[in-house]
Amino acid sequence: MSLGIILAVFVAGALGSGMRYWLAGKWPAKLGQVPRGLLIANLSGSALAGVFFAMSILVLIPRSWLQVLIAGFCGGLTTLSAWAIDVVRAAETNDRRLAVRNLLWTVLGSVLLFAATMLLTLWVAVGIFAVIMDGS
Amino acid sequence: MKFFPRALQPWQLVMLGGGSGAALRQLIDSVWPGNLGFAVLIVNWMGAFALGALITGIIPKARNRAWLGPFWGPGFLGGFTTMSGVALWVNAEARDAGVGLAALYLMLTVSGSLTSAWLGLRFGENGLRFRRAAGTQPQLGAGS
Repeated sequence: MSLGIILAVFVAGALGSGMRYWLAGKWPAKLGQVPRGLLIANLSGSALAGVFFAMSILVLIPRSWLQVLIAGFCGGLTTLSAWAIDVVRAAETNDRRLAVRNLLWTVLGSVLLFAATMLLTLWVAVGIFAVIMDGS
Repeated sequence: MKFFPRALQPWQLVMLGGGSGAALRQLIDSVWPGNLGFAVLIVNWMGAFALGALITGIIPKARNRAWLGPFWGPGFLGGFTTMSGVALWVNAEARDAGVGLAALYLMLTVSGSLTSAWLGLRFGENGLRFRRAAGTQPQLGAGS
């Protein structure tokens, strides 16, 4: 891993983290509710990672860019530490339903959105490719 | 060092910390032997523990918490840990190594990071209590 890539990951991670901080401030955590800003950050970051991953499968972007786009930007935008603390805190204050809701929304949402946006990107690309082939 | 962080806004500290965390995670990921997402798994466990300890143990006692909180919390540890990485590895493993391993990876991520977060919170609290108890009444010779 070259110094240039590390620096690029740093910049991308800084942008992602700044965006997550902004989202968390715009939709702050409310008592008894899943913290909305953080959920939006995690879901949008995972969805975006799915698009980037599909684009690298299609060789639209080089594989080395994945480090910057997914590990850097999406990795900075999403977080697990704050989510884990939120779930533990909710469970500790006997709000088990909130803990389970936050757990399911964040984890299943992230995994499924990644799969969905990846497949959607592949599907759209194949469609465009077919149209181009028909035209020529 | 004292002047520098104070001149920065919280969002700037978050960005500096987040970039550092993401870069360190990627560095660990790139040197990890035989990758099936286990670097991300360990990183997430460590980050959850550290945030717990930071919240209950370090920030309440810190004099420079105005910059320490944003830099290390939503900054460094927020950027260090990743949910999109988890989503990526679960999907990659489901495709390449079977749904069983993907499910195991997801379960290890969730149970491990929640346990780590809980341990971190308790570690921070107990460390504090220990220090306070030791500092209140220094009785030389009376017990250890």
